[in-house]
Amino acid sequence: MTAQELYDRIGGNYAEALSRMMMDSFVARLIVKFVDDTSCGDLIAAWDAGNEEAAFESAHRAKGVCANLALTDLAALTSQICEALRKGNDELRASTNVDALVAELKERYGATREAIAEFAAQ
Amino acid sequence: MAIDTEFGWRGARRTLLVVEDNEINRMMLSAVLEEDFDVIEAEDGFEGLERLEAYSQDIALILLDIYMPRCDGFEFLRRKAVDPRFDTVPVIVTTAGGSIEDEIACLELGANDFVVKPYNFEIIKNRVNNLIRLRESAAIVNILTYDDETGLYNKDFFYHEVEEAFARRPDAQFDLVVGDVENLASLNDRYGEAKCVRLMRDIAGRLTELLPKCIARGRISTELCAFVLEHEERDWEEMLALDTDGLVVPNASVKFGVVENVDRGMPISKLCGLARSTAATIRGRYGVQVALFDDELHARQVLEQTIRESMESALGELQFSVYYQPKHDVHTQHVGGAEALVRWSHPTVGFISPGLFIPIFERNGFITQLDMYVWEQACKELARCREADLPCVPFSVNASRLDFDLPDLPQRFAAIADKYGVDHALLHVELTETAYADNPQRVIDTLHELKELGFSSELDDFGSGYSSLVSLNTLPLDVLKLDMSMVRKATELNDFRIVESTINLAQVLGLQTVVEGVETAEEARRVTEIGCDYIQGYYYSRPLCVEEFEQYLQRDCVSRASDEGEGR
Repeated sequence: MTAQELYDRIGGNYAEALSRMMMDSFVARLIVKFVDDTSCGDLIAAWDAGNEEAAFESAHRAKGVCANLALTDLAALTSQICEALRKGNDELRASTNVDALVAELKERYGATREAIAEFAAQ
Repeated sequence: MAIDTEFGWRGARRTLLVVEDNEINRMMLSAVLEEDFDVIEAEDGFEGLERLEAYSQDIALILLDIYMPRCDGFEFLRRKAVDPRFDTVPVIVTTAGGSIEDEIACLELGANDFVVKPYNFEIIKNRVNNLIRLRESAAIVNILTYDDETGLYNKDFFYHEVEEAFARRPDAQFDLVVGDVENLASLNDRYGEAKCVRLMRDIAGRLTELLPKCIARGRISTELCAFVLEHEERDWEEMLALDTDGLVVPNASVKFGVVENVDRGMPISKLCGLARSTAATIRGRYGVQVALFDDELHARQVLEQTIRESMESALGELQFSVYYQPKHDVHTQHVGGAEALVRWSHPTVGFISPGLFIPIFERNGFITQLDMYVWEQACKELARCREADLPCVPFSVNASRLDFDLPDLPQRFAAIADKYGVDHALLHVELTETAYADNPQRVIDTLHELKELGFSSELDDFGSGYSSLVSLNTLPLDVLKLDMSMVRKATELNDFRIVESTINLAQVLGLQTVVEGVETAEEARRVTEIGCDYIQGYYYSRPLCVEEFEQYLQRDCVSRASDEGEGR
């Protein structure tokens, strides 16, 4: 599996990642690091524990790192959660089903980690 | 590489501090920025502050994440802002975006700019470079504005500010104060440079407190601080009572020169020069801290400056002329000699008193050239008298202390005399006791050499200063000159013992005596009674120009002939 194929599989934008990181090998090195990155995991755990504030901070971090890695789908999801949980965004919070978003994140994040683990094991 | 050439405007690679807890973000930032910069990493705000502490001189810019565990970006900015060492290092906040409040909060805490994730490295690099350039330009302005040791304006900027202030306020009047830290160079040798830097900083600080409402404060040279204030009637002594207690260098002293209502037509650099030389008038005077500039002092300084600037051309342009003051033999009443005295007629200033220019020439060494000139003129005049069949009487020519530093002084005098075919016996070298005091052996040796060459020597002003009987015994003298003030003092006290003993002593030593400064018939009679050999002074004649002197000799010659006729 190439990095390009990995990105396609996990809903990322390889071209964007390459333009930011300039070398395929560097993209590959950083995407592998994502397995150890705790921001998405922290977000899920905080939400499950009912700690909205911690969930917001983790969402904020997760949004940043996913965007940097051009993990488009995860970045969009974490961004939606982050904005819904941001203080003062009451209307958005009311109209957003955060539970559903977190559930979707769990699934996608799990699949992404799995795919990356496979990529890394090659 | 393009960035290197575009932004490597001072050649050196800059160092960035990346404060970011997320490893992926940090690696990404570092990896890309390392192409153009040296990158130091920190995983949270605390670590960032530690790195800043360790590398504060090197770090050109900080890239800072907001949300971090332990110490977040806000806390980092708060702590950085209160430390003057870090205060000026620019910060770009990296945010995941979406919160205007966060961004405003960062800017309020002193962040200079922000970038949002995902990173756009072209934007980041440009912002980084722009901020570094801005900061370094500001630092250059700082260098061009301030003296980094005292925090006062540097000289150029001070002059600029003062001239601007003068131009802005055409009707206002200003006072200038220059503080001169005495003997800074020797303090530097004694206590070291670091302490003297602190001394100057502390003094500048204390003066700033004493003179709070200044138009401008500047350090205009190593030891000089200058202050310009709007004019007011002030008690300067009280205002400039600088407390020197607790300064790093003990006994440091500052002398102030004050110019009130400065002449705005003068450049500020000149004004500072005036204030500085005003301060110099009280240098070394204990208990006097402030000297006020006045016009008389200024006129004197200007004249002294003129003297220094024009002395050499004056010699070439024959502005110096030699006058002769006759000496009369107390027994015959006829001319028995003359003292050659230099006069200076300056083309613009007019007559300049020898009392003014001789001390200056003695300080700057020009006196030797002038003495040689006078010696030559005297020789020339003796030759003329001889050719004109006038009586040839000995001329006394003054030799300054510095002349005795010339190793070949006797030979030079002899060569000049020989050039005009003048009998050496007609030339007396007149020296003062101060010349002798400086280097007695050299003077003794030189006088012996002069004597061997046939010249005579006279000790001038005996009894007026710190006269020493030793000098009478050790110097190979021929003539002792006493000042009339000594006789006047004796007359006042009605006690002639010292004067008479001096004359007796001279006679015992085989010296002739001359009293100069004799003004009245009564004084002449008194001096004659005491037993002196020659009289010089206004009673007989003032110093005469060459023509007058020759006529004087002519008349003396005629009366001598008639005396001799009567005697026969």
